[in-house]
Amino acid sequence: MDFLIESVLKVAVVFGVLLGSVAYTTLLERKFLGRLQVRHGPNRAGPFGLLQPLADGLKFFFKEDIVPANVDKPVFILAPVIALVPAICIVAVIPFGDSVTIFGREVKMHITDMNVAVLYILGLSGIGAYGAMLGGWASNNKYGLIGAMRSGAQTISYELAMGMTLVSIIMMSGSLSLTKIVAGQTFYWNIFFQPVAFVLFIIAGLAEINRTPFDMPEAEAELACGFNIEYSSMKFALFFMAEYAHMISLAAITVCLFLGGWNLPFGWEVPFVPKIFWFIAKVFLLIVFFIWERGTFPRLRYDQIMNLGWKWLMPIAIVNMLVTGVVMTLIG
Amino acid sequence: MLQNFVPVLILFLFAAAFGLGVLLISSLLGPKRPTAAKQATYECGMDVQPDARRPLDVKYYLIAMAFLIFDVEVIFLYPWAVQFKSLGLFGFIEMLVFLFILLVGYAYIWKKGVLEWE
Amino acid sequence: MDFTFATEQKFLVLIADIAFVGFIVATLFGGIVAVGARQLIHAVLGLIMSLMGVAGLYVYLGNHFIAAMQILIYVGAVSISMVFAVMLARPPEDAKAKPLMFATKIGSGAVIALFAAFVVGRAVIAHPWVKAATVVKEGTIRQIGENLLTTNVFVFELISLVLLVAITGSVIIAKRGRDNTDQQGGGV
Repeated sequence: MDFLIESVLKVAVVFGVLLGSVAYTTLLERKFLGRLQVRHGPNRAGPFGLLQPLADGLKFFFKEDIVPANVDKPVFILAPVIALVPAICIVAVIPFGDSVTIFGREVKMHITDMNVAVLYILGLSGIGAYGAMLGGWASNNKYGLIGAMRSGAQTISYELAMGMTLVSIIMMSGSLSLTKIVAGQTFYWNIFFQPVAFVLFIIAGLAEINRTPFDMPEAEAELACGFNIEYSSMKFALFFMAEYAHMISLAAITVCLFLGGWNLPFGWEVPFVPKIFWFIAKVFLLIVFFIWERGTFPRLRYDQIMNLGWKWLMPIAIVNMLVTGVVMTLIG
Repeated sequence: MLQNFVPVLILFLFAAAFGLGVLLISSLLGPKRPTAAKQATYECGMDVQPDARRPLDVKYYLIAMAFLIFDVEVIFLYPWAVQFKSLGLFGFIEMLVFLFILLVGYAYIWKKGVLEWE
Repeated sequence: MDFTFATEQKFLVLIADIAFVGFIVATLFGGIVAVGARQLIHAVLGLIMSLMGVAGLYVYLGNHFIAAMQILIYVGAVSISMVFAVMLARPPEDAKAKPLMFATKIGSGAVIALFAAFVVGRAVIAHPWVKAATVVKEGTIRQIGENLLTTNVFVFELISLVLLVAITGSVIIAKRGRDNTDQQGGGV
């Protein structure tokens, strides 16, 4: 029973931490964006607005859930759940740290160590594309439908670029397991050898989760919110949470693939600091970066986005892969 | 094997229960005062012109087809990438041939304007 | 200590068996939805559910790579293009084919199922089965990579040719189909 209890506890902790991070990432984003735009951001609910996510959540519960008359009801209701569940399930394969000893028992700091973790992540983000597409289609609204189509086409295009980019990392690590990929970076992080892949991965990741500057599916100015236009109350909140969960897991995956996971570079060790601290710090910095770039870049046009994905990222990823192959063959 | 997938199953159940449960609770707590205007499709306040579900640009479908083809290709790159070190030069050359054939397809769809958006 | 380990293994196996039944139910239920749904998109959703159920079966059998491929290719790519195709298609009113009678559906379904069961059953009986422990070693991603690029190189290169033909064909068909019919369908 030990293993089962341990698993359930671990899942509960990770699940709770993820939901908490989602809630407070929204606050961080609003605060930081506010500062970037020389205003305060939310500061009424609690000290420094720290209770804002709680207030938002409660408000969502008590709002009327409007279901427009001519929607496709089962799909309309299921779409937010379809968006959220894969976004949460991605964290199952992410290693947060080495192992710790609790009550004389060695506990590994990941929910599971899957030998096809990278494919699992790609597959789940592919399923995540359905949430937005089905939601927009079921709404029976022109803006919603256009947003849905854009979201679907954009997500799959960049998933391809992302898949191509990852091949060079897999070639170096020789494994699809994130735990092994992190274990291979105790001395040199992958970003030192693969800076191009790192940039490609960040761009493709941001585009795949439809984040600014690639937020075409919900371009406020032209699509009035896009695929979630007809959604209200908790259904809207689920789409929102899915987006932030994707953002957090993108940051965590980037840290595992390129930034050494829980390791410091060059085998440095700092006494008395648990390794998971470095992991959390890196994820936090990446999330701050994602918010910062949202405050900085203007939104791209849709044709520019598709061009970038198909005509730039993909060829560059292939070339990067070939260069990696040649160099690795030459070195031995 | 079981050790690897039971935790994922547990997480999936957690996530699904959370999603559905939250929807259920909010449907119990929230008010329900539907009116015809509230339930109308949102379109800038004007009367909604015909059905939203009309045929879309074929472009999206072509992109989906191109994605399908290249996605299968990428997935076949993974077993090679995992074994790259032990397969060595010969494996690399085989992969070059594989890639070259597909790059012909890539050049073709580019030439045919599948990747052009106005 | 031995005792707890044994009970835990039993418990895990029990969970796996429940999951197995769940996957079977998902596969069958999804299949029924895919066949019976009136809305095309519901049918596609049913198909997706069925495909995920099959992926679950692969996981149950211990082959994670095939399961991941199933999700990535069939759920993530093939079904997505089906969703695009459904959205691309004309709204249902001008596609009013007369639905088959229920009895005809059941009857033809039963015939096909029997035939499939016969073919698969023969193959199952004819196949020399090995103990599960040895099977698990095969079909890992390493094995597949090794086999694809050494013993089955020809097949491997053929895959890329097939994909090339597929992309060319789909572009040609999609382009021609649009030019012959009206041009005003697009614009989104």
